[in-house]
Amino acid sequence: MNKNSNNEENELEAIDFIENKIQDSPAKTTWKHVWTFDKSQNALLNSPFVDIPTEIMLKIFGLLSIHDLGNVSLVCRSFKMIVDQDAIWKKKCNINSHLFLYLNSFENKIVLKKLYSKSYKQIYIDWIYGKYLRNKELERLLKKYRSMNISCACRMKYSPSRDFVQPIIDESFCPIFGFDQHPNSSADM
Amino acid sequence: MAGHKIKLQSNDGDIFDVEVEIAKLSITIKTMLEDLSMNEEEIIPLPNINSAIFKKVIQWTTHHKDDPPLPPEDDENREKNTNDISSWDQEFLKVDQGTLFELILAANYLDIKGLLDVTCTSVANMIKGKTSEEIRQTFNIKNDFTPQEEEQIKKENEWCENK
Repeated sequence: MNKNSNNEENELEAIDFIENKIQDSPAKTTWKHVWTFDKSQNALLNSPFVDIPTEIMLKIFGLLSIHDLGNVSLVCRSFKMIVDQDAIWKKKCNINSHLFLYLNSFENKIVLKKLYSKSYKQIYIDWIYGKYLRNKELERLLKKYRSMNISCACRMKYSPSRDFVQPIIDESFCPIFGFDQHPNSSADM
Repeated sequence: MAGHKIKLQSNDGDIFDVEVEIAKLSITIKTMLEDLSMNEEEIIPLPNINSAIFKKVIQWTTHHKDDPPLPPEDDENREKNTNDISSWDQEFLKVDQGTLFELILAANYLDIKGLLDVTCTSVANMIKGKTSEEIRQTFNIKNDFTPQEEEQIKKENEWCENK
């Protein structure tokens, strides 16, 4: 197999990955929609919701799933503003056990917490986004390993002894998240 | 004290004789009785509640008077199964939408947590599984988004769903 073409392929894949990352970057602060009272209350005029105070709306919306919250946020402006409140997303962050632990590790460090004074919705979105990126990367690696196994298997068919003893190591490692060396290839590890 | 009754007056003038133990399920009334040390004959006005709704509230509190006290704010607790409404409550809440929302306001004003919980859950259940258009139709809400705003919110919402 040609080593150079292989490296090029890797590079292209890496560029692909980075580009995807930029394209798919999460909605940063754009979700902070705010309308004035007169621009958001007309929609509810004929609805029984018009008399319901915000704290009760929060209580009701707090019982909904993320998916339902998405639909509720598309109902009207005043619903959208209520759905984005911390009171709802703090709950959602707490339900997610991994995120809960992650947040608690911050909460012990008040300074850090102040530094990262993001809204709970933003924390939640960032968390989901991180998970999404990890899954994507895993998917990519899995695909790579699969194709490698196939090529190994093919080789075994034609020249079993040589490749079986010496698997193609440099193909199995591709750098992720700043680790640019395979632990096995480092002398002091 | 059991059996003692107090007089409560709805905003359309009707006077209700209610057992103290039942009336005290309302934290608002309980506080009034304790802080103002009102005597038995005095009529307590409830300016925010009409007779029809107050009858419903008394019906609910009478049925639930022996319930164990609810745990304090469960905000930090994990989400419990929110669909859970007892069959008695389900039957009780088979009312028109206007009444349901009035019950929410009454429970909020009277500070009856159990009734507020169950009415809010009922509304949440009405929202669950519906599209935004269906929610608008159910509750007679107008769509006040511009098409651009709608488009943008749809994009944002994608980021909240698990991928």
